[in-house]
Amino acid sequence: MPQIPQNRLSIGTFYNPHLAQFTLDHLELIDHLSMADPPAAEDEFFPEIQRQFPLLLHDYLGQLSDPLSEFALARARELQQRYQGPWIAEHFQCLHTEERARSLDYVFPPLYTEEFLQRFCENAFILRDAVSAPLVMENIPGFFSVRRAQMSEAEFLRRFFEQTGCGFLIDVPHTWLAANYRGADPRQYLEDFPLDRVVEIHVAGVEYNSDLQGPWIAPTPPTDEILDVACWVAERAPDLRAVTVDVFSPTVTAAQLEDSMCRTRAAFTTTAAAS
Amino acid sequence: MSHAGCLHYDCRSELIMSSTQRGFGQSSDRHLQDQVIHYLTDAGLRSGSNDVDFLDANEAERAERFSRFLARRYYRDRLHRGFRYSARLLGSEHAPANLMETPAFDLILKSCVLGSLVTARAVGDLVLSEFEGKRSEGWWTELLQYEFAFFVQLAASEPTPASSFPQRSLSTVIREFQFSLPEIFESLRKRRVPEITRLVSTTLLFSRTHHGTIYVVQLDALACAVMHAVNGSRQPAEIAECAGASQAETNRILEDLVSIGAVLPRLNKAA
Repeated sequence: MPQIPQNRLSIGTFYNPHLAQFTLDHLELIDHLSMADPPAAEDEFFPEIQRQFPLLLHDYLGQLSDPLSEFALARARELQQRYQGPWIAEHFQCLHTEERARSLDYVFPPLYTEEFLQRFCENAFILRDAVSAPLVMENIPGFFSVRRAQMSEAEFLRRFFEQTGCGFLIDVPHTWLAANYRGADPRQYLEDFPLDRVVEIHVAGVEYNSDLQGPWIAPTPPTDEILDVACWVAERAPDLRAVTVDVFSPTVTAAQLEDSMCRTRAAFTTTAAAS
Repeated sequence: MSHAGCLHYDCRSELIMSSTQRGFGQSSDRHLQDQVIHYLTDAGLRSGSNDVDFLDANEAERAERFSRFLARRYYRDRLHRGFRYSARLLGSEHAPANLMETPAFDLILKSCVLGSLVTARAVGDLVLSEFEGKRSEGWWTELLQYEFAFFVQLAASEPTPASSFPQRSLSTVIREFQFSLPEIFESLRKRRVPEITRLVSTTLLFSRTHHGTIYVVQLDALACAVMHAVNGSRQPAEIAECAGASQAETNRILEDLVSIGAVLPRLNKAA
């Protein structure tokens, strides 16, 4: 089974089943694939996909604000055994209620408080031990403020990584949005983030959303600005192993994916050459 | 200065507890997060008369926008998946998912409870009312009805309240069809317009499990009778009697129906 390279940065994307043939035809563009969903039983391409690409588990495993059920842990273990990736990923999110009656069905950050920090640390240990693989955690942007935060996002993340030893999957568009809506420069916003813990970077595009009346994450090619910030992060991330174009949508086209991969590869090749 | 804060963390000092205030609050932060989630998913809680103490006015307005974003995204995704065959026939410009950008959906947003059965049915009904007249073939209406029932399973995640009686799960749909649906789907998968005239009466049950797995199963007469006898106020012995089946047969069918999420088992009184 292919592995993420040890001696160079791996640049990949998500597995989009409707673009499986394109993916197999472009081994030179795509080093690895993140798996947001398990492959469908009727996906005739997947066996070859698995032979050609290292796979990273990036499914929804459960929200670490709450204890994971035995079902969720078993599912995570089964998926990781199938993919055999070098790490598994989850998000700093709390999107459904504790009794599960309501869900936002979309990434949504927890309150940055002592209680949530403790919850995330405890449940991260349990997930990591259950799956027997390193865990990386992805940052999630919010869109409004709740009157209960006890610390900044940066402090929450830094203390989480210190306490758990987990890796940081930094989603650059998420931090770009966070900075944008605070009227801050993205690099300035990232100053207090634990970039030394970064193992993987996500890049993607943003576009205007009429409900939000501003930019939001979109399945479009990463902008130059996003890529610039991503390269800036990479320069400060000694343990960085992978950059992933975060596009997973049935609407994304082969041309968009090719453009995204070419732009991302070009940006990181330039950065590597300059350093 | 324009409003700068949009994250849970906000640099304005009045919104951040000092270090001496840190620690677990009097009420659980997890409970507050649940309140926020309820607020975002229920338009009724966000109506003008319902101020909440965890948001100031400006942030409440942002939360409203975020809620609309969430709802539009959620139902667009479910329509895309639920009505994919009719969308294929109608073309991408006229696909049901495009209804998310219409005033009719904006009206639904005003009372939307994300993931509820009522809102799922309202969105599904909107599709039926807009698209039933788009084609004249006899199977067209049945295809839309099939997709409607499937869409309800995708979009209604509202849990069924537990009871001391076996009961139908909220989103379960039973519907009779007259056209041969397998033939219709086979044609559509081959991107051909179905030319179906053969009538094959079939009763289908649509359900979803607690983990979100969706089932569409054909019911035979006995299973149909058991399912109809499950009314939320009968114990298994009464269900067997009402369905005209033996207790053993009834128990087996009920077990199958529970395994596919169509029926919620009665609460174990000892538990």
